[in-house]
Amino acid sequence: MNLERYFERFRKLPKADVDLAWSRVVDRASKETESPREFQSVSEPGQRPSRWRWLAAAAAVVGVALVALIPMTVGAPAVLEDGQGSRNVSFGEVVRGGTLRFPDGSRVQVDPQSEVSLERLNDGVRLSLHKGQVAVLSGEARVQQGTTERTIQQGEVASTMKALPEKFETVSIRPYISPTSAGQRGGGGGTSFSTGCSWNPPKVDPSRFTVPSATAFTLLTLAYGTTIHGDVSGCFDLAALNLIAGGPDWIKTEHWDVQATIPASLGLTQEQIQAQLKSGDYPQLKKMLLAMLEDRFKLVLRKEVKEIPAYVLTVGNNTSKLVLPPGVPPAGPAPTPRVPQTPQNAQWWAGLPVGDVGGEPGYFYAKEAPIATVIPFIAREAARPVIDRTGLTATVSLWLQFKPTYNYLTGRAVVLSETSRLAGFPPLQKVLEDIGLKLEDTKVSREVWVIEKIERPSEN
Amino acid sequence: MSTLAVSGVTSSPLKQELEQLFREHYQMLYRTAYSMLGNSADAEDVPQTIFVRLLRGGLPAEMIKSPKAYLYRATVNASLNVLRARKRSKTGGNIEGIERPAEVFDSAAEEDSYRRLAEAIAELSPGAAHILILRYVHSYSDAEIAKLTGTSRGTVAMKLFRIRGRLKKLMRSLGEER
Repeated sequence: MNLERYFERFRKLPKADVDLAWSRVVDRASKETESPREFQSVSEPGQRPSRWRWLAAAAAVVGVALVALIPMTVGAPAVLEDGQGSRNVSFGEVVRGGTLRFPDGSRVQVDPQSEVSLERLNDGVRLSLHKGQVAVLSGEARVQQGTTERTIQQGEVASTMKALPEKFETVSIRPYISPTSAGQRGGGGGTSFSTGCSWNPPKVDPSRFTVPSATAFTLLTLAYGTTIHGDVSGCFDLAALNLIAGGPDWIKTEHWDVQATIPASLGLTQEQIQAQLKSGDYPQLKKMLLAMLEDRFKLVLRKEVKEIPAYVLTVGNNTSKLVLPPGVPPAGPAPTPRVPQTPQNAQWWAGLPVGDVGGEPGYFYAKEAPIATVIPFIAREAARPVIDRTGLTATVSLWLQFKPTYNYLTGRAVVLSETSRLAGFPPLQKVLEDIGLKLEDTKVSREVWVIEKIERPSEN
Repeated sequence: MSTLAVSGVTSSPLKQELEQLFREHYQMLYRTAYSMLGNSADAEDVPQTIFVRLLRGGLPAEMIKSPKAYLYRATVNASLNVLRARKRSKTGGNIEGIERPAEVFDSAAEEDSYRRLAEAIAELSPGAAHILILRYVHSYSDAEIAKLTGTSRGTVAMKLFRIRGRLKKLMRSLGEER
């Protein structure tokens, strides 16, 4: 076996006509309603396409036993067809994904995340669904769930799943009363920046969502979807991009204590919830928050998709100023911002935990942190979404001080006097280029929420 | 798969961005698909289908992170799906759709050996196929493969060693089947 020789002919292939190929892509995209070939699984190869996934779009696993009864025949109870070919399935064997073909001609598709097994009965074969769901592709099956029995036909789905909750079980919203300004309600206390972002991050566990002293604007950003990990910086990011527009002034100045009960049927663990919040991907909680705003604040939104300016971040070949050995501080003086406890020297750097990132308008730092954690700081300073195209897998170490143009805490452009110390620093793009990073203009599509109506929340 | 931008075909920024990516990577994707599928028609179809989907559904988050790695992976995966679909529907002994190679083989035994190698590659896992094609079709070094696949050089070297062993074993068993 000579792999080099075998593949040699492919290395010498003549170049394909890219113009013609692209025109075909555009033509197909405008004409085809469905792809003629089975390339469904682009990011997850080898899995058969699910024709009924839409039925499970809002479903969560609950531990319900479910059986389908199939007439008994002689020989193997079924043949499994999957990405690896086809083979006989034996009784008791657990099958995860694929299509089961039974001797009577009926076919049942098993979702890749589902588990089934076959059991021998006196009058047939029992298909026990332990987890997930199955769909009848041809024929029919009797389905027994608890004490009830029904027949499912071709194209129907039997599932151990049920719809996920889309509303909080209970909601309590009270005007925030500041201990230092007793008597003032709904705006009398609490801290918010002129962006409308309140200071306190939400606390979420599997059964409760709590956020003290939150503005309606902050609640809207949480419902829109943003990364939440111990602070409310995601609110500033959305405010900078102006993705939530309109509404009266009070949504950014008046504060509310919010407590809500999460239905147990959501079925997420503490770890799963925290991971979702950190990534900004918490679909059910978003729905619940939006439903709460619609119900209690009488919110009416208009959703639009707009193209907004953005940056693509790339990296050159030389990453020696960016990817540093463990413990080595970046070159040059550490940033010296105005707040007293901020970094002065390498001693401060040594005291930072690995993976730490931080900053304020005009400076930020990252110590042996993934580039993904630095991107939000660049985006905040630039007031634009930043698309990471660096391809960097190694962690980066940097401290950067530059002339700020936008103050993401106040949501206003920075105007520096000639005598300002900050005026002497180079712009952000220049300091990024100095360490091998480059920002290039692009445009991206983003959903914009326009507030058409919102009222102060009703009594509990 | 989370989608950051859902736009229609007429959405010009998405279309422009995809066209740029298409022009930048098409030759590599075409060569990748050709080396796995063995004919130009399917090799053209695979990357085109991937881009048709992207035009309709927008850029997935994982693609925004590293377009080249995503597109390459998607091409290998889609090619494997085609190979497996061929295998499911095949009636003869060989994988259908493989064009007869341009070069003349020294012997029937060598031709048979190459046929079995093509079939064995179709049996590889997606991860193994990713590395194999990068190494032998695109002549990537271990370090370059490591960078694109987000792993270490040592892991790549070890995986290549195992892939070669797996191919040998698969070829042996395919030879016995005949």
